[in-house]
Amino acid sequence: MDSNATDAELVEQTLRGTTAAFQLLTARYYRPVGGFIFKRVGRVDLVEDLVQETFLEAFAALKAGPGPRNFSSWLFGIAHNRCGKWLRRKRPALFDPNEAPDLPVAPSDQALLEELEEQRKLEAQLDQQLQSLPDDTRRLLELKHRDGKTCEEIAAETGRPVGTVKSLLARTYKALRTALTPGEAKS
Amino acid sequence: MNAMTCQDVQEQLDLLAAGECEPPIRDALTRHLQQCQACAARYAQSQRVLGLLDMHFKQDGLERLQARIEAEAQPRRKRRFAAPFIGGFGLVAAVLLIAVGLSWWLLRDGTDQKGPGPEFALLVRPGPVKPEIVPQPPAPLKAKDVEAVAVVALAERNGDAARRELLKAQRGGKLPFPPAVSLELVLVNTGKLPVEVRLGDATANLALDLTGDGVLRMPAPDAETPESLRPRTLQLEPGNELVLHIDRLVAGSPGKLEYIYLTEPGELTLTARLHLTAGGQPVTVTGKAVRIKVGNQTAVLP
Repeated sequence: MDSNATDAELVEQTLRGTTAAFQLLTARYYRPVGGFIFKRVGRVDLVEDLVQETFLEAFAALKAGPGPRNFSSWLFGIAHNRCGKWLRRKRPALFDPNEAPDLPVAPSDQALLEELEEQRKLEAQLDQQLQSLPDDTRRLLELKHRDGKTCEEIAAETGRPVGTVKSLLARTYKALRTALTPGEAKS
Repeated sequence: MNAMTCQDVQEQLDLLAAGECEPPIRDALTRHLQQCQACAARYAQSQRVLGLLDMHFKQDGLERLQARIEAEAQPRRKRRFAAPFIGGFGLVAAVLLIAVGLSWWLLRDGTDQKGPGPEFALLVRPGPVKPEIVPQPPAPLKAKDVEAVAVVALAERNGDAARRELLKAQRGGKLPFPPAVSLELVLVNTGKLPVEVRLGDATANLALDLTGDGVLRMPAPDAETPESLRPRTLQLEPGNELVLHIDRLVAGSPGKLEYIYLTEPGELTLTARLHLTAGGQPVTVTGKAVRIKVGNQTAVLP
């Protein structure tokens, strides 16, 4: 399977029954869709489930019918609807009854593509920032975000005082936030 | 505690988003954020960056998704599994009960097509009910036209509150057991030849993917290894079953386990996936996703 194939080519192959083609699309869009969903629901613990639902719905739709004109905006449209569905279920807890949630209005294809581009840019920036970190700082982030350890557990594992771990974590977060948030460095 | 200034607050925002503030500081920060839009906006930025970090480092989500897509892509088998439904089947609220009448099929590692080699089916069925844990006749639960029914004790608090409590418990090294369940994973040799099955080796893994609201997963590296991941080797004859009992929602690999908590009633999708060694080669057996209903009530299945 050609990993350089265009979205349209992969969609075409998926329509012909080649699951591996759709797997390439999942690898290509997993993180952007995750970021897109996280921006809307604001909870990391929900992202994986909603991403899975999005791709499974897309896969089922491709098996059942004609392919979309533009895969990425179509996929993000599905993700948007999934988020809307989740937020509507949560509406009583999340919104003032007098205040309508702004999500149900479907964004245009152009807006979705722009958001995808922004998301990809953000991920590239994050990758770049992470690569520039010292090994021990990157390891700290892995322990925290991959393994889900607390500062106390990280301190026990690395032999550092808890306060040192927290300080290093706080400095790293601040540096990343500054680098990834437009206008943050000036404020 | 004296009121915090914006500068004080902004020094702590990232740690707050990471769940690493002590309760008194956390409460003070929360009060400030409720009143200060500038700090609240910065807190949202911090949450987004931490969310990006979570997604960057947790790569196994893509693997889980791709396994599910492989499973969805497989043709349905005509042979169906007849679950041994028994009338008057009851459970207390702390017991998860799953009844399925579904077909399941083999998913081999990394291939679209089945090749030569061992073939299995993975089934999920209700486990044995222990009469001593049924304190009173259960209330009826309509189960028509659903593929599966689950009844589970819900956490007393909602998802966010439960998560905070669990994080606190985890920090204190006192993570509670996940819900007691009564489930059986049934591995069936659907091939024509006997197969040597090895469980519990370095690559063994049990995934219990639950899609829906109120699913909390917490790393539990010190958890006792569940039966389905304990080392053993056995010969499985064609058509024979290996029954693995699941009495807690514990998934993962030995030494890298996680507890799964359920906090909200509703409908979930469960996909069970077992990674084992069969005939000397790694095999992942995946069941079709099944719908389950979660409620804090007792149940009777038809």
